[in-house]
Formats: sequence, C-alpha cells, structure tokens
Amino acid sequence: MARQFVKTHDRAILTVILVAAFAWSLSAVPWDSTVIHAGGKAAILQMLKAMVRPDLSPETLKLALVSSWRTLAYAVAGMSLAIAIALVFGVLAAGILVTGRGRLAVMGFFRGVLGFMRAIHELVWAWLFVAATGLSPLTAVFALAIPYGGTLGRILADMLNDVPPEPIRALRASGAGKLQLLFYGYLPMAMADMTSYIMYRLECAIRSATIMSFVGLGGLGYQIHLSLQDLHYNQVWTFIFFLTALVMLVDLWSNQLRRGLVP
Amino acid sequence: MNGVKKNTVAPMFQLNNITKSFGGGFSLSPLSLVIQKGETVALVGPSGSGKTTLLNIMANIIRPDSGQVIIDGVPAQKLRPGRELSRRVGMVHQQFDLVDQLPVIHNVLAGRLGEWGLGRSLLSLFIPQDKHLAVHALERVGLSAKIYQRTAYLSGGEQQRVALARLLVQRPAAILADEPVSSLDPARAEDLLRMLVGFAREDEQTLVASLHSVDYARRYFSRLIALRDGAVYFDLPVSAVDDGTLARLYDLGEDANGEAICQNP
Ligand SMILES: Nc1ncnc2c1ncn2[C@@H]1O[C@H](COP(=O)(O)OP(=O)(O)OP(=O)(O)O)[C@@H](O)[C@H]1O
Ligand SMILES: [Mg+2]
Repeated sequence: MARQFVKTHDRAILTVILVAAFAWSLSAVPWDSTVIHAGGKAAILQMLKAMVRPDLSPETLKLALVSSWRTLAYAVAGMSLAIAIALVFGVLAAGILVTGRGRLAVMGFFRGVLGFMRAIHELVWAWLFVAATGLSPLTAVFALAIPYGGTLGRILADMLNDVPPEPIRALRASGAGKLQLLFYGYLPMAMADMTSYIMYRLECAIRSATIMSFVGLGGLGYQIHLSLQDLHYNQVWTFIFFLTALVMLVDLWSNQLRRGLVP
Repeated sequence: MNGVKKNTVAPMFQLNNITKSFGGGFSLSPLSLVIQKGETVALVGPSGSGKTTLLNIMANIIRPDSGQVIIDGVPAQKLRPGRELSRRVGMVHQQFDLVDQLPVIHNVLAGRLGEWGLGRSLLSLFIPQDKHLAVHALERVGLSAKIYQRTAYLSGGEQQRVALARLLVQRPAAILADEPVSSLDPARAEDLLRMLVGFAREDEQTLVASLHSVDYARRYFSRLIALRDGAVYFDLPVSAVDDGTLARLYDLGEDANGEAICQNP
C-alpha cells in the first residue's frame, strides 16, 4: 500500500522534499548586517561607479584584447582536446562497439574513467599540473580538457544510447557493421544535440579558463586579479566587459552553427 | 516463378513450429509456414495478432523461443549479421527507418553497407560511392530531384520511397515490409504498394508485407496469411479468400481461439 503510494507520487514527493530543503536553507542564513560586511558598502558603491566609467585607455584595451585572445585560445584548445577524449571514451562508454559478455564490463570501465575525470574540478587539475610540471599553457589546456572531456564523454555516451533504435536496426538489416553503424547512424543522429551542447560547454570553458588564470596562467582572469589587488576598479570592468563580449560572441557563433544543423 | 520450382529450389522462408512469448501474455503459438521464392504474400490480422513479431523473426531481428527458421536454405542462427543476411533479407518499416540527419543519397547508399568495407563507407560520406546505383534507384521511385536533400525535410510518403530506394540498392532476395503504407494517404498508399509489388516482380524477389487493409492485400498480393492471437487463422491463395472469412478474422466478438481454417494451402 505505502509502496504503491510512493511509486505513483514519486515526483511529487521529491518536489516537496526539495522545496522543504530550500526553505530550510533560507532560514539557515543569518539575515542581519553580517551578510554584507561593514566596509563592504563603500567598496560596492565604488565598484558600481567604476562600472559606468571603465578604463578605455589604449594600453588597457590592448592588454584586454591580448588577454581575451589568450583566454579564448585556452578554452578552444582545451575543448578540442576534450572533444577528442569524449569521442573515444564516450563511444566506448556507450557500449555500441562491443556486444556479448564483455559489453557491460567495457561500458562500466569507461563510464568509471569518465566519472573520475570529471569528479575532479578543473582548478584542482590545474593545481596538480602546476605542482607537477610548473606553469605553462599546456597545463591550462590539459587541466581544462580532462574534466570537460569527462563531462562531454558522459553526455555523448548518453546521447548515443538515446538515439532512436529503429533507424539503427534498419541500417543493421542493410548489412552495416558496428563501425558503419557509428558513422551512418549513431553519430549523425547525435550530432546536432552534441554540437549545441559543445557550444554551451565552450562558454563554460571560457569562464573556467578565466578562473583558472587566477592560478597564474595568464589571460583575462589574471588581469582581473591584478587590477582588483591594485583597486583599479575601472580596469576590472574593462576586463569584465571583454569577458562578457567573448561569451556573447561564442553564443552568436553557436546559434549560427545550430541553424545549420537542426533539421 | 510460383510453385514451379518448389522441388528444385529451397523455399525462401521455412518456419517450423516456432514459438515466441513476451511478458505481457502474448505468445506466438507453434507456427509453421513455407514461403517460396518469388511469392507475394500479405500478412493480415487484427492489431496485436503478432504480424510484426513474425516479420521480425523472419528478418532474423528477433529469435524465436523455440522452433526452426530457415532462410533460403540456411538456418537463421547460422546467418551472421552483415552481408550474409543483407543479401537475403531486407526490411522496410512503417516509419522511422531512415537517418533523418543524413542527405537522401546516404540513406539510399546505406543499402550498400553490407558490401562495403569501413574505408569505403567513410569515403562515401564525402564522395558518394556507387552513386549510379542511388541515382537509378531514386529515378525508379520518382525522387531524383531530392537526392541531396536532408532526409528530415521530406514528407512521410517521400521518406517511405527513400526506404524503398535503399532496398533497391540493397537488392535482397526477399523483402519484408511491416505496414509499409499505414502512414500514407490512400492515393500514395496505392502508389507505394504498386511500386513495391512491381519491383519485387521485376527483380524476382519474394515479398512479405503486413497490411491493415484487406482490400489492398487482395488487390496486390497473390497469397494471404491471416494471423489471430499469434496463430495462423488462414493461409490461402487470394482467389480463395471470401468476405465471410475476412469478417470472422476481424470479428472481435468471436471466441479468441477460433479454429484455424486452413493451415496449408
Ligand atoms: N518486445 C516486446 N515485449 C513485450 N511484448 C511485446 C514485444 N513485442 C511485441 N509484444 C506484444 O506482442 C503482441 C503482438 O505484437 P505485434 O507487434 O507482433 O502485433 P501486430 O500484429 O504487429 O500488431 P499491429 O497491427 O498493432 O502492429 C502485442 O500484444 C505486443 O504487446
Ligand atoms: Mg505491427
């Protein structure tokens, strides 16, 4: 009886639990003056004032441009490597290349590898790499590529598993082998969704590359960090606007791509 | 073709006492059939009577729980997926059997995958291989103008014809069609059936199609096999089928395990 109730209302029950947890978390915040610290108000005002007067001197603009380029380069290089990792591991984790007894083992193993890769945050990977190999652009690229490859690979595996089975069965009936199925069925069918997801992750990668440069790898984040330390809020805003523009550009680009892909 | 070579050529399909049951209570009762090369057979029967299941067994897509399936003289379990099977049996479904994202030409040329190695298949995605086959097949189904269109942009009827063009390129000895016309309007349905049966006769292929319309079955096919509750209800040459028998086939009120009228023609 009770089990039946839980089964039929599982969504509603989960919703109630989540809403309750959220409400409780609100009550856990001490809603008094300590939320914003004493000197904070002045700093915030100063920052807001600087927002309408960003530093537009040629040197700063040039620095912002170079840093934006560097951040974008890290993000794109990291994503490219991540896509390569995701393709290989994702296809293996989807279990579409193996049949029979070994299938579950292969799927489990590669899902595990992908899980390990994305369980560790890119910043942690960056620290690990910096500790091991020192600061270098490659450090940033690998630190990004590993967790992003883990996420992309997992998503790709899921998408490949969710591909409609009918066209695949028809291809198999036409005599297609496993790799032929991959290139004539699975990949074309998963490609549109995968591309828009990759473009979305590229935005995330830009933000990650920015944060990562706080570690000292150069790029927009590093400049923001330096300007903040020197309390040059006008400069900080210049860099933030460049970052925003970068993300918007990627968004435009992804819309362009998607228009060509979605049927 | 029919019947004449019965003794010299192995039948296209021979099913001996096959059974198949699913969790939901449905089962294909011990069922035996012989279909000779070159026959055009319509499979009719109420919804849920097991038509799709039977076709899938004949296409070697699903295995029966027991019994023997012999395709063109070879036991089905010995036919490895790939070329061995694709030369013998091709299947069209009611819908969803094309890769929407690919241009029409690649969906048609997919009929060659059994013959091509991986390298050639990959190359073909950039430089179509055996293009003349696709062009010719699309001409036969009247779709030459759409050769480079993305398949998703085609209407349901056009997609059905692309699936047919794929079969023309594949050239299997037998074509199995599961409700090939149920998503088409009557004019297009007749068009497609005429093509399907016409091509099968021209290329001396065996054709087995499941249909919801008994009317089409009687007009285009030479033999009718009726299923009811997973058993053969009748199996007759089309000339021997009368309206009373058909009425009883679809009569919902009748006892579910009504007597089979004729097991072997
Ligand atoms: N994979 C499966 N698992 C469980 N039950 C199944 C499966 N495939 C078919 N069945 C059941 O077997 C029965 C026969 O199905 P089948 O699809 O062969 O009927 P059909 O004659 O093709 O019907 P329709 O005319 O509606 O297509 C149905 O009751 C169906 O629910
Ligand atoms: Mg069916």
